[in-house]
Amino acid sequence: MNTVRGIFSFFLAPFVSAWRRRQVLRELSIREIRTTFTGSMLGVSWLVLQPLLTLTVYALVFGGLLGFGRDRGMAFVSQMFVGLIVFHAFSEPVSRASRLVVSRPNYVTKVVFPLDLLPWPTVALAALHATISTVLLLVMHTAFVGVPAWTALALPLVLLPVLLLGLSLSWVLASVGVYVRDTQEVVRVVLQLLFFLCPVVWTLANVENELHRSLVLLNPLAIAIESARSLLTGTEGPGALFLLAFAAATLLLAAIGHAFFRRTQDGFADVL
Amino acid sequence: MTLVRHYDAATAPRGPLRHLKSLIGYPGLVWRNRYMLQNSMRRDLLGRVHGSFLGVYWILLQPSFQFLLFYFVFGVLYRRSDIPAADFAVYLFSGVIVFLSLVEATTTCCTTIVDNGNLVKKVAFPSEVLPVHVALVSLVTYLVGAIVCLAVGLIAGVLHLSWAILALPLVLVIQFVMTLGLGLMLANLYVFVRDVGQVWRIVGQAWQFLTPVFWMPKQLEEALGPNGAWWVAELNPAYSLVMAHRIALGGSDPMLGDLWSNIGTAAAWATFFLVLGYSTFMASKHKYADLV
Repeated sequence: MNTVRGIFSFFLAPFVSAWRRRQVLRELSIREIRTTFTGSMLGVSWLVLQPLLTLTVYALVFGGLLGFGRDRGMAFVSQMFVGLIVFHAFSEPVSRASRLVVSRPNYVTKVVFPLDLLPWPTVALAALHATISTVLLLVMHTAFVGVPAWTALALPLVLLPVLLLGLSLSWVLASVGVYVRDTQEVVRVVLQLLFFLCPVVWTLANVENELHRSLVLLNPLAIAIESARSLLTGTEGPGALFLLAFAAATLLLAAIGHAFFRRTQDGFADVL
Repeated sequence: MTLVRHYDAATAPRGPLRHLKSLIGYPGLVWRNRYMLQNSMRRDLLGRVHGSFLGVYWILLQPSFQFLLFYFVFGVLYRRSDIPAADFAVYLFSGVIVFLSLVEATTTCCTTIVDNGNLVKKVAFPSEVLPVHVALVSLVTYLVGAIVCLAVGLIAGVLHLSWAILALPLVLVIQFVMTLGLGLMLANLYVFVRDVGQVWRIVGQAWQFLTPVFWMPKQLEEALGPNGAWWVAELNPAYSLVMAHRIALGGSDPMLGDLWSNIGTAAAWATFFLVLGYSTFMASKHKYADLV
């Protein structure tokens, strides 16, 4: 009975700690969104404008100028945009994770602050970005390619685990970043490389070799991107069971990341 | 040396290009500030590798990894049957390193005035020197990538060393001038409208896709047909620059075009951007102190 309860609390720990401080979390998230756009004339409307402009640019470049024919061109744009949404949902929080604690030494040394909350606002912002981009994508897909398959309703089921994956890695990196100062640089480079390793600007459909295919699918992000694509177009993709397994795996990773952060955070004050 | 300059509104030159006269003195100004530039460059470059396990090798490892990745993804995984894997990887890589340094430097330039607010507010400090070191640092990152590209290309037999490599310093100067011109323009705009940062990120992406970095000119001709307006792509300021870089590094494909006409076009664009960037920067420089 105790072990069951232990396992349960291990899994829920990251969410329990966030739920208890939900008011702080809300303030932090709002501030996160505000500071991203401070000083800009159009302010928060950039949240919508940025993905809209990006999408327009892609449509113009790949659907128009570089002309792959209108239909195929727009289908390509939609495929690529799906890849970008999933990749950014992961990379946005991760790219900033290693500076989360280091840039706020006062939170560590001066006040008592639940440090494990710090990655949440960046993930919240990424979730907001992903949501807005997905809505825009669906609109564009309906207008130029065709009505998305009803399975597109399950897109959140792919995006949520990806966000969780980013969250769990953010905890690990936030902690490692305190002890190893060049984490930021390493993460930047690794993300740059990962971008090309994920099927964002290319699709798995063009990979013919079976061995290469399975190599690509070792990357969880590649799985997520390809699943999202098949959900959008209604082609045969991952089953419901697979999506559940994926979500469960990321839940486990989130619990591990959170536990890692809690274990290592006692030493922060000595280093900062 | 006169310490006080008299200003007379009646005799002062007018018009948007009135600052062009001081452009002649710009290289001298940069030269006089060389110690500051040297220091900030050293700090910038060493800061990236400071304290890492691999030290300076890190700078070299990063482009090498990137090249291997390109080879694997675009040569092996996503294979085009008509182009050999190594050829395409070298083609891709030689374009990406040019563009990466261009986009990275101009993006950094956006915030360079605002970030150095305490320097800009000093009357004696010539703030037009600030983007220079960003452009220089981007040349260093480009050069490291170019060395990796050249080494791999020569070993794989894709690139052939020719006299064109002697033009590389000239191409680098052109890239420097273009980066600097764009940097001055963006740094100036960003002080007044912070949205420029967001816009430039998207424009930079679009620019990269419109330049033959990921695709080859002949692919575009094939896609658009013989009557297609594929020559429009050549109006792109970065087109000639990227091609000139490729020829200088030893690419010999006829689709790259002629070395000197590419250099000429790129130089013309670079001069245009420098004149535009410098004159807009100098025209509103006096307002910076209040805005940063």
